[in-house]
Amino acid sequence: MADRSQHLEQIMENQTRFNLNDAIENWRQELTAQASLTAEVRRELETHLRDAIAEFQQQGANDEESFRLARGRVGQPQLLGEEFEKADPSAMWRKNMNKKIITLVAVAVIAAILLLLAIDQLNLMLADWLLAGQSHNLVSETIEVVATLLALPVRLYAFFIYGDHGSWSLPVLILLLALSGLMWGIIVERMVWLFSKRGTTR
Amino acid sequence: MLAKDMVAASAKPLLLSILAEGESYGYEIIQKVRELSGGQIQWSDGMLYPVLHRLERDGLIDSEWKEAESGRERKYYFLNSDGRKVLKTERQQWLTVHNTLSKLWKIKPASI
Repeated sequence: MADRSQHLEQIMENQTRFNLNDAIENWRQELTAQASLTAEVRRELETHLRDAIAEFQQQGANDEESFRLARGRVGQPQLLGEEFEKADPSAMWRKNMNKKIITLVAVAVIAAILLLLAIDQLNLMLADWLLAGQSHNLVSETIEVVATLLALPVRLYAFFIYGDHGSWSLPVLILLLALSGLMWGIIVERMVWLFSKRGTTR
Repeated sequence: MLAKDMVAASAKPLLLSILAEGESYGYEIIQKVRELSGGQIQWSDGMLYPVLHRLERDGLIDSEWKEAESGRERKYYFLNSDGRKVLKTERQQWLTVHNTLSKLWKIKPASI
């Protein structure tokens, strides 16, 4: 009799010690640590875990046992992360995309401004023989900056495509981004110069 | 129990076929596969989702979060028209394999 009540006490103690919501929360945090699992995937896996817990509870298992079995069935968070990464390598890339875009645009703008300043210096140096004495005024400079910034969405797209394949490293991509911005700037500037020249000759 | 390679190879036609019968969600799909195969095809629960998401990325299935009768929100998957076309091809290919093996093993072939 004493043994039995002691056993019951033990069970009750275990039940109170184990908190299902806390256990799910811990499991959720383990999932969050996996970079390849997006918020939506984690939400989907959690509904799956909760369904499995409910099934085991219906079969008569207590909270702790149900959670342990359900967790085992869904799989270890680390393994899940690896599987998702294998199935979609670009998922890692898309994670925290907002931060990446902001960083990328900031770096690209700074790089473009630096390069435009460099062109300006080059223009001054080569003005006599390469640029046929073109005056480098504020309008053409503004157009150059705008054109460079307009090229960004195109560059960003290319960045993501190559980023998805994981074949180009970040510094190479930033360099390409800056160089293509520069190219756009020069092309647009040349066109503006040509048109303005034609307008003047008329 | 089915070998790992077979489980992987048959995942796509199985998922498309299950969804051809109507929309479903991950937990239900796993239960259906377990039940239909008499427990012979054991998909690890968590491993199902990468396959489902790949099919969605490939444009064969669509998904939508909906509230189930229990009040819990679930992500339901359903087959779209491209998925139906692919399923038709998959079906023909699997039946070809099935019929070829059936002839070799002297089992009555299935109709294509």
